[in-house]
Amino acid sequence: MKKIICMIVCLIVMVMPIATYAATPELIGATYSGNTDELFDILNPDSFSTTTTISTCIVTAAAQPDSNMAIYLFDEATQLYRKITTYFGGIRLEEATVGSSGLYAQQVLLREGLNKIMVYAENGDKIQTSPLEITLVNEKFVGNIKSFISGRFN
Amino acid sequence: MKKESIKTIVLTLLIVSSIVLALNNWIGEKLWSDGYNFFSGITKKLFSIDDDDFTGSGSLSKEKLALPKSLIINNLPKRGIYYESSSEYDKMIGDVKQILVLALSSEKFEDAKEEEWNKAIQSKSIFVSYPVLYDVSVISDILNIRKTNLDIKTVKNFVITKNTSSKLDVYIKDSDLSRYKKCTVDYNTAVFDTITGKYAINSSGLLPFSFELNFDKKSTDSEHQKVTIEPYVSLSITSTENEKIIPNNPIYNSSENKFNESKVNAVLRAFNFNLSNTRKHVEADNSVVYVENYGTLKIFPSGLIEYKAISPEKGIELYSSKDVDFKRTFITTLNFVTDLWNSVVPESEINLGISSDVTDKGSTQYMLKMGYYHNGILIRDDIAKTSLNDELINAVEITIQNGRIVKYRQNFKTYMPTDETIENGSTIDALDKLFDDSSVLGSDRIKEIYPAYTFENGECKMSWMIEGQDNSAALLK
Repeated sequence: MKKIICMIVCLIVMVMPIATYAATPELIGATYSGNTDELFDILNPDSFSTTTTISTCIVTAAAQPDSNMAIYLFDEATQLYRKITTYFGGIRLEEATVGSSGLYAQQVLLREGLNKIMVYAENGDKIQTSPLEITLVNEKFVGNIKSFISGRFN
Repeated sequence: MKKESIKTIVLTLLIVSSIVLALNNWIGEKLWSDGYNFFSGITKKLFSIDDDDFTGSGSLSKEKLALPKSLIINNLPKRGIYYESSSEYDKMIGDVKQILVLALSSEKFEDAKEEEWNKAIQSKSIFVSYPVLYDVSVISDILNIRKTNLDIKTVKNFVITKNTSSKLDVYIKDSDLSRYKKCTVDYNTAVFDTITGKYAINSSGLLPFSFELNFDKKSTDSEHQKVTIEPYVSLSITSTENEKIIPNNPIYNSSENKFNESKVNAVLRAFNFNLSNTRKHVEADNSVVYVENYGTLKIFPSGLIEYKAISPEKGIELYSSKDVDFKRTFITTLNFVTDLWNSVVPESEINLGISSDVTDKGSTQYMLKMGYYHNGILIRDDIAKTSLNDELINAVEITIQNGRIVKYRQNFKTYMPTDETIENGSTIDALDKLFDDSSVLGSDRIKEIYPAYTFENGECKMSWMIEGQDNSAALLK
């Protein structure tokens, strides 16, 4: 019996690093940067820092097929990037493996204010990260600024 | 003398009534058993009876053709997509059609920029999409507009939005030249507010347009980007559930291994074949070939019917005029398809829709393609090529030359919904499949990508249709 338990424990110990290797990490340090820039190019948003009034943003990328990709949001409390989880039709989605088309898309729900986002990809021993900053502003606030500017200059 | 007058009156009445009854027998089409009426043809020629009004029967009526394929309601961050036949669509379409009629009847059209069009889509708006490209003259006619001042040739998409002066702006895209036109319409804006408020119910992130994801342009830096997608293609980034359907062949009873005689006779009558003296023989695959002086008609157990005229001048005459008119050809062809369906399968509503562009290319030969649809989704029930028939990937394919049908192919099927559902993957899943075998599409620019029902050994599946910029197409099962 002891032998069987020992064997199961050994198997778990052997499988764990493989499983961990395949999955993207739950947390990333604030200053972490990968070891390559060859795995993906961000398509949307089209610049590092953007401002929007729409509370959802779809991050898209063209990536090397078979890369594991995930999106992280910066957590002020822990000062770490935390992997986001979305549910589509009751199915939990955390990361995706890029297929032959090389296209990747993931929806991010934004909080009002600055949203620090990290796009993460790994393929074999290569890891690439790319930070993004998206600021969600209230539509009324934008309207007020517009009417203030048009009042001043018209 | 009095007796003589009465006799004369009675005789005159009898002679007149016998002439009237004889004429009725000759001219009344229903009294002729085999669908062929020499005298009726003469009457049409003598009194110039036109066939270019829509019959109004079945689903190829003018009203049905005037229906867009989909309505996309934008009220970001919410969005809703509604296909023809959904109850929400039915509630909105009356107002949307009235707005389009007002727009196309507008006196003045202004030029608009692509940025304005994009901004309109991303603001509170209704994106109206027809299934194929239409000549402006044809769509105007379908919408009962006598004359339009719109100086573009073909249209497919419209965007309706509200402007700052509480009127509605309608943007129209010229599909040929990628120009944009705009006109202002005076319509009850409260209706527009209700539609955009009530029917934009899903997260826009799940139903994005290609341009919102920057999938429409090639990133100069990216070596990984293999494909771009036309900007106004609606994508789905998650999988969807669809109602499962089952096909039924009304022409052939496979359990008894025999044709349904009344249906076959109805097909023959529709193609003006005389039932009593048409020659017929049976082919090795059990298909029956009917031969008449001017053409042949083949009916296959698969539900496929194939008509072929012996020469272009001997095809089925759609209208008697010598001047070939595109609009008239289109309308009379649809009337023919509708009448054929209603005579062969009167018990089922016609669920055909046009799947090839309705644009006048100035040729005397024209090919019209049609597809079966279920809840706005195309059904691809392909018939494979055999030694005795060519492949058929559309439900109907009609070749018209000089106002005559010279070739007609139709896969006669009806489709019934079931209680089961089937899952369809995301658009990106479809593109991944496409690149697993990169040889299937000749272009790296995608023009259209949409779901389609397909069948494998009779089992219903969801697949994706992808059309390239070079008009190559791939069905990804």
